[in-house]
Amino acid sequence: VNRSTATLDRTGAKYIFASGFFLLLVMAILFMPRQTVENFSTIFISIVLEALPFVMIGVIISSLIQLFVSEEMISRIIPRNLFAGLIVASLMGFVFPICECANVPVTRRLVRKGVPLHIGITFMMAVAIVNPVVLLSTYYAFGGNMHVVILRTVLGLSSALIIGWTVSVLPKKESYLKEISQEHDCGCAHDGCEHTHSRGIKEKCIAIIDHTGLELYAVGRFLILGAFISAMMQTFLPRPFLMTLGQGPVLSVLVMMALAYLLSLCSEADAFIARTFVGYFSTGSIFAFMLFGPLIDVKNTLMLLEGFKAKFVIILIIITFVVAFSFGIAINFFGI
Amino acid sequence: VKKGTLNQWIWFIILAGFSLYLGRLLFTGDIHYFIHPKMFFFIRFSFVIFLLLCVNQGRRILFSKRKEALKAGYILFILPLLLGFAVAPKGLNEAAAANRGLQLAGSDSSTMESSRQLKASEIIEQLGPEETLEVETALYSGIIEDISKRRSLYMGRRIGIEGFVFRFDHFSPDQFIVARMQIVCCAADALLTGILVQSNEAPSFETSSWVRVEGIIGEREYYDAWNDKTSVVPAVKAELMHPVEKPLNVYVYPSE
Repeated sequence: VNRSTATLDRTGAKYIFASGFFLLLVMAILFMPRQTVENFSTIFISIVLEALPFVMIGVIISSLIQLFVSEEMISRIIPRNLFAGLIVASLMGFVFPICECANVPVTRRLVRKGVPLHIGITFMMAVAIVNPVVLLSTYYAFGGNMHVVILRTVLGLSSALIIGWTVSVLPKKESYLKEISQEHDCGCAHDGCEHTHSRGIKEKCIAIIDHTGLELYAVGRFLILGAFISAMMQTFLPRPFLMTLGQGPVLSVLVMMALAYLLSLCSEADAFIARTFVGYFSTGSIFAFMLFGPLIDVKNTLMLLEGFKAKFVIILIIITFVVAFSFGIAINFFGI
Repeated sequence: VKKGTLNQWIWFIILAGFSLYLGRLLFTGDIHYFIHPKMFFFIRFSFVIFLLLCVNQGRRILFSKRKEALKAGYILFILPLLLGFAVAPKGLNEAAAANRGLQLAGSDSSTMESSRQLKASEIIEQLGPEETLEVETALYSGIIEDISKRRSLYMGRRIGIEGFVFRFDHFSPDQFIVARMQIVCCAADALLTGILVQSNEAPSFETSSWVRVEGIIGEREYYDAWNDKTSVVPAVKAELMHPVEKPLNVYVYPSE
């Protein structure tokens, strides 16, 4: 009984928040200067339009994998040796390009099925950056600049390996997993888990489309929220103020990492946002943004907290912060 | 209507809305206001997927039996549709300029550009010494970039350029920047790109108004308030200036 009341309160608050937000927005559209509304809308819609195809590609591939590749198949191919395991897990993104929104539930299930924690975490971290879809969108976002793509790949791989190795040396006295909750197991909010082993091609196609639609909802809302916040910042944050933050080689990295965490962008879209800061923020901070955001952000944190103990999630955020911050600083001071 | 089915209906309307909106943008060409033409393929792709999902959602409505709470996340999907249909923005306007970054000819603000050979750079090499360098829209970014790269080639040359008037607060009355919005992928990454103009008639041209400037490229001291540095940058000594119409496509694109 307690549980259901709590759920009810939460959803009630959600509706109030959502409708309040909506009302505010309509007021803003009516009373703001026309030019400002138009500029805000242009930026907001263009980010959404730009990122949607890439999110769709990610979601479709992810749906294919969710339906055709079992966790057992993946865990069977993981080597027993620590470093071999880490390296294989970090390269999984190339064969297993699920976006950073889908990788949290997958990782959780992998760990629950007996995959070592450090392997799961390395996989989760690497997949978000070192995957063809993310690298392709990075390539497009930076106007075909291969230097950015290669550097992002190398730094992403290194980060995943360092974070995974650090997790492997954490004390293993207690389990970092949460007790299995009664709630729906899939954090991706899809109710299509049951239709996995349908036989006919038609059923399979429908299952893929169903799954794609459901996951598009799950991922798309974070994308739109991110685009909205980003467009707000671009429209209303005075440029000179932002510029003063972007100058310092250390402060700029911190600011961009905070942005990456708060914007919660899909890693398939974040390069497009990162591009808009080029020229105002230090190069290191741009890369820190494109590293830290995919590795960990608000929505990932929430999804992780559903499956792992809070203590572990906090440790993971700290490790990830230190790694991304160090790389950002290194770029600024040594100019990789 | 059961709540589970209501969810299904709302999602159907959202998918139909996106299909309709994307279809309209692609059909009317308004997509230009948001996205670089090289990305149109991906927009067509997402249009097709939205149509497919929409049709499939119609099927799902018929078979939905689940009981579930109304999803608050739908409001987020309605946002871009609401703004897209109700505001129907026609691209970034000049009011956005003050909050964008600036790539001024001769200042080295863009550190991440790849060092490519530009098509636009051939223009100046083929031009006779007395001829006017006409900065056309297609070559705008390329020529500005080339002026930054190989400044000496352009010194003393006659130039004709169109754009809107942009000023910082600290500008002296006889100067402004003639600028265009450059986009790489979408309007969210728009940058100002342009060249400094010097003329005694400058005060009679309002900020944000569109202008054609003809004159000789020289040099002038320029103070950048963003990094508190003064440098010598190329500047057009205007001999002829007159207002022009705002072009249909306000953006310019970086050269390939």
